[in-house]
Amino acid sequence: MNKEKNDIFMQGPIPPERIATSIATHGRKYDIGAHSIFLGQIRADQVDGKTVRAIDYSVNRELALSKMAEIRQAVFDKYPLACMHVYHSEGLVQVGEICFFVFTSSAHRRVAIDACEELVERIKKEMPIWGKEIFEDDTHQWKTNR
Amino acid sequence: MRVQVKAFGALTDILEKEFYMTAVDTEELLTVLSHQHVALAHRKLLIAVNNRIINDPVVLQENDIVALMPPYSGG
Repeated sequence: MNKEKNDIFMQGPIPPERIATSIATHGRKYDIGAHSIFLGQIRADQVDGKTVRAIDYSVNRELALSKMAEIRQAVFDKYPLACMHVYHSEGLVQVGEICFFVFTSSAHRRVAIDACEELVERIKKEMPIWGKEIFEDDTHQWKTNR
Repeated sequence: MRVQVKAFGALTDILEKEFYMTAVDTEELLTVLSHQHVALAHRKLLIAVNNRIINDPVVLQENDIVALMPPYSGG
């Protein structure tokens, strides 16, 4: 898979090590005083007596990457951020694994927290991503966002 | 015009993921598909033509790519 500049998609779950490495990398940026991190995790929802065991994510890649570029620019224009990183899973992610990682950094906490929240909300609402919830008996239903 | 249709999310339970069909505009395309697949009728969906979301019907050109997308559910 070619890794485009704004490609946020990662095949399968986001490894916790990836998050740790990302934090460590920012240790060399001395203008940063605050990080805000959001992590989405697959929940074992119960529906009519059946339990979700995984979510299979599919995306409209081209549309998603141009939308992400637009969101990224808008958030950078609005907040004085030092850094912004976004990763979202594509394909199968099991219960308990991480599927969504948003990481913002700034000089002071308010900017990082607000920008992180805005990114999470906009990505969930505006990005052409779909989650297929797979139950333990291999039947499925399509996830709907609240 | 012969266009490529791409279905996403729950629509892939109803339609092939990718197929070709002929339609003058997006309205005709949806009408034809809704007749062929009852489950598609009255479904809330977003349409993109060549990666641009459209809000009103547009006339299709040869080889356009029409994406049919249900409400998003990422995160």
